[in-house]
Amino acid sequence: MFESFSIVVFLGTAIRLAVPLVIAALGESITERSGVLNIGIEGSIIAGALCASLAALEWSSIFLGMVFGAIGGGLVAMVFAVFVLGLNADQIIAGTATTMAGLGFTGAIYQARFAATGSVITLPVLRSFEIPYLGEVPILGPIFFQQSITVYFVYLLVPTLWYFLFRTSWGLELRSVGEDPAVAEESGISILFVRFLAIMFGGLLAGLAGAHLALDSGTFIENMSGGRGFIAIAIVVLGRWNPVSIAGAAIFFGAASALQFLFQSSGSDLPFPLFLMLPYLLTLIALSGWFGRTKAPRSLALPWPSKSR
Amino acid sequence: MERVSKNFGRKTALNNVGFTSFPGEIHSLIGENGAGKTTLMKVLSGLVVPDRGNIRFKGKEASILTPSDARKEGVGMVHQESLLIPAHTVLENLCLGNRFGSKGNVLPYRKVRIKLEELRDKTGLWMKEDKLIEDLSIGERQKVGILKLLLRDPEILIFDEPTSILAPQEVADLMSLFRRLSRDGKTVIFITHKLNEVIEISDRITVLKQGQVVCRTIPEETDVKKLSKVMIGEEVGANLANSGPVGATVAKLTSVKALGVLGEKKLMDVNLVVRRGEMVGIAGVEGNGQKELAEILSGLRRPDGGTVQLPREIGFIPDDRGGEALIGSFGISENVALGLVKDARFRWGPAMLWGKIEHYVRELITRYGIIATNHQQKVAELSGGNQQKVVLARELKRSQDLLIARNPTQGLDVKATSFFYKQMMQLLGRDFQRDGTEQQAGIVLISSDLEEILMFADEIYVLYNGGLLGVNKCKASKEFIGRLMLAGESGRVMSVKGDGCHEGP
Amino acid sequence: MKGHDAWVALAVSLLALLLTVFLTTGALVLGGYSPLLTFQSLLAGSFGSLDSFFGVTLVRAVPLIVIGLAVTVAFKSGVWNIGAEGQFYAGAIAGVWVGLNVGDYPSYFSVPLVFLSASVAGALWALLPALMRTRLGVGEVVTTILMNFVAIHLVSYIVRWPLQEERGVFPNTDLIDESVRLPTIVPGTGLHLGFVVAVILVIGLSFFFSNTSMGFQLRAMGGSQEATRVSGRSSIPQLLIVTFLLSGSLAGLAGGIEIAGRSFALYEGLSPGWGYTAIAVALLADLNFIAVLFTGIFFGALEGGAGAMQREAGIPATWVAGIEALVLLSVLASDRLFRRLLRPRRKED
Repeated sequence: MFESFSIVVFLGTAIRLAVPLVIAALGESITERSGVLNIGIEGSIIAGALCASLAALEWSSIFLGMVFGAIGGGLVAMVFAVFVLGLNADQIIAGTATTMAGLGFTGAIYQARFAATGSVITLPVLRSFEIPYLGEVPILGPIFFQQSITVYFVYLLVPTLWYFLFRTSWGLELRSVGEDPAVAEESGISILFVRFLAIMFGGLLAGLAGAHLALDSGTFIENMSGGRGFIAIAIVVLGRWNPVSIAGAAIFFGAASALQFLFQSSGSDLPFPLFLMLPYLLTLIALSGWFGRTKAPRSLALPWPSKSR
Repeated sequence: MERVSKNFGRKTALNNVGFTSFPGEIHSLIGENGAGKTTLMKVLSGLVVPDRGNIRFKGKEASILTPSDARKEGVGMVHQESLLIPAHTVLENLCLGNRFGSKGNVLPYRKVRIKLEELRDKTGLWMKEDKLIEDLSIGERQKVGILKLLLRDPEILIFDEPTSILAPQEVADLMSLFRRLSRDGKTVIFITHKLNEVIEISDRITVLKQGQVVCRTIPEETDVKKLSKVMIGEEVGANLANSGPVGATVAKLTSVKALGVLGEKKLMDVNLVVRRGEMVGIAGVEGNGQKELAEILSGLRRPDGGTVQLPREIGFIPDDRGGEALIGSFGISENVALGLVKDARFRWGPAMLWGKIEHYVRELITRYGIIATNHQQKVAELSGGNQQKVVLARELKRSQDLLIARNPTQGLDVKATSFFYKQMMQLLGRDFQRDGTEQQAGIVLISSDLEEILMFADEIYVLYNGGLLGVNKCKASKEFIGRLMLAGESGRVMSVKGDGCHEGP
Repeated sequence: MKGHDAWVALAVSLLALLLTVFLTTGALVLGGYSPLLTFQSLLAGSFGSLDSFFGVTLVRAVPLIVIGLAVTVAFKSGVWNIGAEGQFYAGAIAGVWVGLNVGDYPSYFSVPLVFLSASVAGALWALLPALMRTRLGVGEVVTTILMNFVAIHLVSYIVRWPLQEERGVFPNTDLIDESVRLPTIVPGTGLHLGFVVAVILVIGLSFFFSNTSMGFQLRAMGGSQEATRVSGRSSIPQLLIVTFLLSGSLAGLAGGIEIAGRSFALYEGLSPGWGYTAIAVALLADLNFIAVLFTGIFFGALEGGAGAMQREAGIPATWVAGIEALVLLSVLASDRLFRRLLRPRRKED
């Protein structure tokens, strides 16, 4: 089972499985850079998956599926933003509520729409295509450049976000809001506006991640987000809020899941739940400081205006 | 500025204040804490919108509602706590909120570097632009704050108590910067409550008291005594610490060492003896190991080396009243109870005797004259002075042997400050009702306010870079202690040893 | 002041419920269902008869109350334990293992043993996040969430491999012996002794937090960690560990009660997300232990009535998850709005 080509397949699978994680984690990292910990992106992901399914089913268009998936995720994030920014509610609690609402209502809508027919939804499926020349490079080509459009989107997104964060004024302003909103406000930045945009960006990307989930598998299942929102949060921590390291951390998670598929498909009686457990344990180990200390944005998860004001 | 008024709730911060300044002058704005100095300048720089009054620049009426309005008019302010982001570099901090005229969204790092060099040639101010703010000392941070302001090339520069965190040498540098700026035709507004500096440098002086202007003058027509009279209403008191009888040792630190979270040295080889009936003053610029020393002395943390001898119960007045001393959402009773959780008299096994505690708290409220609706009022709703009284009431009970106080009078008005020191003198056994044989406590006063230490302490030490240096109180001048606070490399500490400095006993 | 606060809390909760009913009605109308029929069937299914109240609502409420207490303990002390779900499963695993292996002893010995092992397991499951928080300064939000996933996968391993039922077909354990099961307290219904345990816990914790020195210190830590350390001279790591262990053991105990009282076996999805629902239970109760008893019953009624709702009004039971989320959102909204409305008035008195 460990022939040379299966290593290539394995790594290719790792990247494919990492895609929804990396998209959601990149969005969440931007949200967290503004000082907001949104543990409700699970809700955005599942909403994105449902909206993408409905849109793709309606117009049989993958592109529209993606667009509406992102919008669905954004709408859920907007609910979170209203609570956190408009009402200054606690971020952890509002995030929990958002996740519960996302999972509950997508389930309810799905049941209302499809349960009566009892049939499985079949959607147009994302197909991989080869990038000319690059795709022909031995080993690397099949791993990196024979993938679906979302993978290539990630290749563009990672450097763009890095440049945005560390080389532009907007990026600096975003990071300042997350570090010390009082200082940022004094510099003429509207804290709530920046945080709103950051939450919305995180929601849109989480929705896109959900759209990928639905369109990659070609169907929608209740709770199909399967905790990926929470994993994305772990990935952001593991990637230390830096887009490049986040991509690496996401591939690590993807690889762990790919390993599990590999073992399962080999037909062995190896206990697969233990492999599913592995990435979580590894994240816990990583959080314990094995890869060096992580430094969160200083005002992460703190309310603004702060309660003392 | 004409007839500016501002109320915060029922409290009047500014009442019909007029304030005028001219290009090329250094204008000192003085007054006690809470006199309205900072509020007035926040109005000018757009951080506070006044209830009434108007502002004119060069004769033209201006409406300043936000900091960016003020910026457009050429007003800039260097704040008491520099508004910088610790996790970012100097360069990033300089770029925040200032695009340096570039239209695009890319950070103008090259432009800023060039401008910084120009500024260095002109003013001598310089800071390595790639350093993280969190690695800089407080004085260096202030320089970054000043650089940030100068890069905007403002007409009016407001400095809010810039010298309170600086050692004398750094103050001198700042004063020469002021002079250079005024020579360039800028207006420098200097907020302070240190009168010597005011007389030394100002072209004009405005004194605020309780939100009103009580005096406008020039240095030639006044002196420290007169100013303090109009400022406070009475002359600055003489040294209250006419030393009393000193008793047995209550606390002793021997070659104590403390490390920071990253293993860096915070305290090195600290030796200190505190005896009953004496107040030990520890001066120094904040961030030289004060927090660690205070926590070791109060038994909150164990040293990473050396031995510590402490009494069983120690009173501790921390630096940060809202954060470390009190729980804002809790009532007075519960905040006092924080000091009673381990007290057998207020407990029955694991249970707290709330009835007894509340009775005791009511007694304290009367004894200390705490102004509150009842013993359950949330402390966040109390005034600063009353909050400090709650802390004092709680901590004095544990101070039979030893009290550690860190910047205890910060932010208190004159009345509250003198109340505090009356309590201190009583604790030392120096009030007139008691004779020296009664139970006396030892006090350690850790403060960045050198005046306060010189006025009250019996023994004086300077904490510099984690080392504790003893100072001979009789010989030491303020300038000498100031120099120690800033001593630089250890070689210099050794060299000044001859003129009155000896290692702690 | 204290009385005033209690009234505000009650008003907030009532307003939240009103808001939930309003929003749910809207959602039902949009979905093309009859709100009247829905609420009717929901009420009938949860309070309509002796059996539906004791056998359905209260039985459902038991785990929600006990886990709700676990969440309340943590949140009150300033610990964001989002990991009650995992701690519940840890307790259930330990409970079922002891239940299957305890041997033939009288139930007054073996049932407490199940409870004890479940509490210890839940506490141990919370210990790792606790140590990471106290030793390494890693925030517990992410670690407790991660531990949930570890526990869920552990359950699916255990019911498929080491503890799978005898025939080795279904992914669940064997049923525990009669002698390890909790006795029924209302004859003819499924209501078991676990409810009494829950009520005793409510009273005990309420007393512990308001009247003991340790409880006061935990509350103080929830108010301000720095002030508790500096002014209370308390060891924060110690208090944090106590909080995590107490909270974890309560959630674990809920797992043990569920095994010994209702399910008698362990299977995947034993908890339909109670660890998260319990956050809503605790918050609707404004982190008041006595109130948790009632909010737990309320959520128990919602989940208990779901079946009847699906049968009679034709609404899929998943709608209840949506309604629960609405309750939490409404609590948040009305809490913020109410307190905002009250704030200026308070300043004047």
